[in-house]
Amino acid sequence: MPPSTTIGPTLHVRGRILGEEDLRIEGRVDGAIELSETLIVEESGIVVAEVQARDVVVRGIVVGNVTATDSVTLDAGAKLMGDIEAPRVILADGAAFKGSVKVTGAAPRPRARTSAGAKANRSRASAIPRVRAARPEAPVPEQDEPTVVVRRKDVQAAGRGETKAAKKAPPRPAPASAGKATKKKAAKKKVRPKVPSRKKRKVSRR
Amino acid sequence: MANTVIGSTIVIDGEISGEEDLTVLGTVKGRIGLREHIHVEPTGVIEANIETATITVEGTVTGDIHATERAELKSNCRVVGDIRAPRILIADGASFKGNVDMEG
Repeated sequence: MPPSTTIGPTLHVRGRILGEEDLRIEGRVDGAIELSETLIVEESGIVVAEVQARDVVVRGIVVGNVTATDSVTLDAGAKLMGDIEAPRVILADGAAFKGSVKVTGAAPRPRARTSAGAKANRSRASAIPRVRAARPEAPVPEQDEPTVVVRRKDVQAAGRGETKAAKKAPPRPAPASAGKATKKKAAKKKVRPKVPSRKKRKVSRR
Repeated sequence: MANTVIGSTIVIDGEISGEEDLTVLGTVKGRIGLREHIHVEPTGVIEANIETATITVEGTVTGDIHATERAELKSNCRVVGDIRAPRILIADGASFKGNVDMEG
C-alpha cells in the first residue's frame, strides 16, 4: 500500500514541510511547504505558508506566496491571498484571488507542447498551400486559366480595345453611317471584340 | 475517520496537532500532540515529543512519549526517550533506551 501523504481535516501542522511526493492537505498548515511534486489543498484545507512545488492545485484557502515550477491551478471555491509565480497559471471561474501573478519562463513540458504544436501547424500550413497550389494548377489549364487569362487580357484588351476601337471604329462605320450611329456602333464594337477574342483564344489553346 | 499519512519522502519540521489517526512513513521533527492513534511505520522517523492516546512504533522515535492509553513498541523499532503510559508493550527485538512510567 503506497498511501499518498495527507494532512487530515482535523490536523494542524505548524512548521515546515519538505517532500518529494504528492501532498494533499485537508487540514491546516502554518509555515512553509516545499515539494518536488504536486500540492493539493482540498476544500477543507487551509494553508498559511510560503508554498513551493511543481504543481499546486488549490480548492481551499491559501494565504501566502505560491511558487510553482510547472503550474498553479485555482479551482472553483479556491481562495488565495498572495503572489503567484509559475509558468502556467489557471484560474477557474469561482476562484477568489488577491495578489499578483508572475508568469515565468515556460516549463519544458508546455514549451514542448507549444513548439511541437507550432511546428505541426507550420508543417500543416506549409503543406496546405502546396496542396492548394497543386490543385488549381491541374484544372486551370483546362478550365479556369483561360477565363483568368481572358479577364486579364480582357482588361488589357478593353483598354487597348477602346483605343483601337476608337481609332479603328471611325474609318469602318464612317462610310456606312454618320455621327450618332458611329458612336453607338463604336460602343458595340468595344464589347464585341471581347467575346470573339475569348472564343478564339479558347479554341486556339485547346 | 480521515487518516493522515506522512509519506516516506516527507519531512515535517514543526508541530503537529489534531484529533485523528496519524500514520508516519516519513520524518517528523518537533512536537506531536494528538488525541487518537499514531502509527510509526518501519520507514518512519520521529524526533519529537509525542502526546497521544495510543501509539504503535515500528520505526524510529527519538523523544519522550506520553500516551494516555497505550504505547506499543514492535520488534525492530528503535526508541530513545522516556515512555509514560498506563499500558506499555515492548516486543521481542525492540530497541529501547529510556525510562518507563506506567502510573499515568
